[in-house]
Amino acid sequence: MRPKSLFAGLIFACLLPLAAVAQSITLQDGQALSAQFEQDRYLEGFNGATRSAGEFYLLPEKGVAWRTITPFASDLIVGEDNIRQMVQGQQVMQVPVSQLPGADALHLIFAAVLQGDWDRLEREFSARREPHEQGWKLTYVPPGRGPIRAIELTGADYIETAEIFRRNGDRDVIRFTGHRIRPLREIRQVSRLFR
Amino acid sequence: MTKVGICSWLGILALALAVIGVRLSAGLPLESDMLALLPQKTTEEPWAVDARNRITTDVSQRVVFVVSHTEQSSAGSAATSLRKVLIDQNLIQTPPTPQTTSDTQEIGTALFPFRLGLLSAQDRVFMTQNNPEGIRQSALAQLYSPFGIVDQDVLRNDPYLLFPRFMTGLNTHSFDIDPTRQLPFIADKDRFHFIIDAKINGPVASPGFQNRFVPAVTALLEDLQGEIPALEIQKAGSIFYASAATQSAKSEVSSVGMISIFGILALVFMVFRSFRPLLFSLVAMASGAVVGLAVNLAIFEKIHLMSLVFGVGLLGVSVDYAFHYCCGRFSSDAQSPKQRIASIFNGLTMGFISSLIGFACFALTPFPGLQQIALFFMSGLAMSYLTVVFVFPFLDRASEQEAPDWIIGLAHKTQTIILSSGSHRRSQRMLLVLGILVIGFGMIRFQSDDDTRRLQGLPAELQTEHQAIQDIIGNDQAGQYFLVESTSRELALQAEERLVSGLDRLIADQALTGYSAVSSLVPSVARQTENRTWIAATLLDGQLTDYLTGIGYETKAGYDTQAEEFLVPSDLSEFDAVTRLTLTDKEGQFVQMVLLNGVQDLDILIALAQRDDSVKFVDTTAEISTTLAQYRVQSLYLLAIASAVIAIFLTLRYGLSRGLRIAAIPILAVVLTPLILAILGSTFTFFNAIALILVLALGLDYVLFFAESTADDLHISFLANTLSALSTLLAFGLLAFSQQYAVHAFGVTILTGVTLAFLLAPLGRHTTENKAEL
Repeated sequence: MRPKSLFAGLIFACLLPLAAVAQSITLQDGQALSAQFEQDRYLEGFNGATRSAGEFYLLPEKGVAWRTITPFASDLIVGEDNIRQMVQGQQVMQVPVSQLPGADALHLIFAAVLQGDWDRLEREFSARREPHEQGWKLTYVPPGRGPIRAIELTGADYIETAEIFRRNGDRDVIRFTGHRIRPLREIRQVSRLFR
Repeated sequence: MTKVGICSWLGILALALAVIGVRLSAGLPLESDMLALLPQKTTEEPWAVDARNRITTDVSQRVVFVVSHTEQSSAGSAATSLRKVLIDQNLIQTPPTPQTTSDTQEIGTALFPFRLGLLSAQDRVFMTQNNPEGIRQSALAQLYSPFGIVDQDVLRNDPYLLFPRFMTGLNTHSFDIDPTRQLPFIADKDRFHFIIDAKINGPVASPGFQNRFVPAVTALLEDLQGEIPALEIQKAGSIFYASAATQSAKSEVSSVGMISIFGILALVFMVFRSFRPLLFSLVAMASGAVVGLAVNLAIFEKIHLMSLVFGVGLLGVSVDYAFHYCCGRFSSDAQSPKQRIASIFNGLTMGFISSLIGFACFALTPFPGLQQIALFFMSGLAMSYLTVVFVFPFLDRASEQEAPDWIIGLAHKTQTIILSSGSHRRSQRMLLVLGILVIGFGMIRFQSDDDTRRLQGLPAELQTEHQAIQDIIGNDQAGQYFLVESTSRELALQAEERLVSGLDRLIADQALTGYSAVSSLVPSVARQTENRTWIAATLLDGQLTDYLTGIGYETKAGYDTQAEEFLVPSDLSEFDAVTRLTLTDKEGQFVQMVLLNGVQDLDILIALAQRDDSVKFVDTTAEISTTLAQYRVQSLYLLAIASAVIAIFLTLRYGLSRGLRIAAIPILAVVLTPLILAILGSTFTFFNAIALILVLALGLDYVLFFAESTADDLHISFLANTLSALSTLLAFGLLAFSQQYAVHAFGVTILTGVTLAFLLAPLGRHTTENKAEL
């Protein structure tokens, strides 16, 4: 049982695709990036994948909000200092980022991807980027024997898929579509989640 | 008589040396804990002292280096080299692995079997609201969100994901571990920060270890920064502050100290054309210090460092005795050593007895520090007195000599000015008005200060580095903690849970950033039972089947509801997270600490502790400040009592009018000194108060020697007083220029007080006597 590593690995899994989404764009003041996501989670014990879908938002200077809509509505807010989960407006979990091993390193990777600094990702994180179909594929292998074995991202102008492989055979596949750059005023409700 | 006296003196000295030898054979029993200066409280339990010692030792022995670079490999290799060299050179102990991801994992493994009784704070809220739907929704949110803490192993054994929420809610801080270097690190947006958190391999207060540690570290850091461009290394630890203080003291010794020594040597040689008076002073002081130390060692188990320093300092009054004796050689009536001692005997004896009875009250206080200082001073002064009376005449080979004209002229001129100003009504009125103005303005501006943080005067550069490290690793524990005591482990855990619920509210209100408590990891059996019972009643059996069917889970999953065992602290006895917080774990008494981070408001914490008899809030820094405040106030009370006792004694000896006149001089110096310093902008601390004791004793001597002089010897007494005052100012007054606040406060008080006492001393003679001298 390695709850903390698992948690950290998943933060990585959640933020890295977003960083890659933004690698080819520059958000102006007052702008945010949004997209739809669809996640298939393959866990032993389920007959097939558990599927969820929703929207995510990247708000410069604030962080990332994942809004799961189906089959169960919940919000996940990844801010600069903490990570919160909300269900029907009620907070059910809050964890300071400082308590999550890996979260700090993640910011660095985030920055490297935003800047398109693939060399650094390869040199310091063993993250390999290679041509893939019409775009690229980035593979990250976390060090040590944590529960996350590898993370693979694919995309072109934007990231298109993120795949997370666990050592016990479980797997998550997240697909991204409909990327949009939007004025912040359109998504005030999301913005308010970052209190 | 002389032979008997010398034999007695030698006997006392031999006995004192024997006592010191016996006691020191087991090491110097020196106490440096400021809180040991407080009166012994009957409530002070050994575990409370243990808690304080743990915190003090942790803080004083800890050293932290943060090695930062944009490249992980550069920061990592530099940190590895630094740690290796520090260990190889025996400068640090092999660092224990700090709390790491793997520690958290191992704790998780140990806790997992008890998961049904472990609920996160939010899940407990759902429980108190009897809202099992809240638990189900939290689990579903995690199952479906991209951020879900869920995998097949977790889901099978903990379908409601209670345990991941419990673990992520723990108030712990951990670091990543670089797998190749086995060093903890943090990465932020720009850089990697590798952390070396270790204990120094020597005593922090030892100048020898400081001299080995700090230069070696400085050279190492320079080498590493020279080898790797853009490498930054921050350091923090008490050893660096202690070393800075030692260096500052050394620098002052070589500047202020040298001026002081050469000044006194030059003064003595210019006046006596011999260094023998200096030798006399040293013999009087040294023999007094030996006896003072022996008496303290014989009576007290441990001697406080502060008592030793101030005890020796107060013995500076014996320098007076030596000068008064040696100035006898300038008198035509005191040609032989016996005549010289006879000529000062009355003044000497009166000064000695007055000081003795005056400061006896200091020994009767319940404050051990003041008791030790008083006993050191009284026994030391008695030995110095015997030295002057019996040993000086034996050692004295000097014949009558002429005093240099310049010093006689200077003394006479000063004496004339003072006596005339004290004798004329107009001058008297001006002095009275000046005195009232000083008292008035001084009282308006008077302020006391007992804040140890300000009194320590920490170097700004080191504080900046310390803050930078705290910003990176987030550890800002500052000597504030709670103690939770009860008759059983279970009751202590329950009391701690009540406390922690208050702390959680403070964290929500941003009055606190975190805490470490045993009950966070190990809830009380009562709480575990409550958790288990509620879950079993609301979420298991049919409810669990419905939930699993709802999410499409087809494998058997659930909890072991038959387990009878409860989690207890001893299940985690191998983990530092529990052992470092447990102070006493024995039948009938269980005590644990709750450590705090990022304290914003002390009053709220104090109020929190007051709600529960089992809980006590400890603020080490504030306690030291309170100790100093109590000593300051106590010293002032005792000074007032000592002054009153001395005044009564002097009126018995000299009659009401003359006795009060004599007593008024040193008392006036003691009263005016802090007020003058207040006008000049100084705050009043314990160190000022302790210096006032010396001002009172010296002032008393000045006025008594003057009062006991015959008209023929008046200029000799004045000369002796002048020399005594000048040497005191050179020895203690120059400390006013020290960078160390405590030393500065002591010095500036002596400088002001002794000057005042010296200038006022001639006024202690009766007006008619003074007029006759003019």
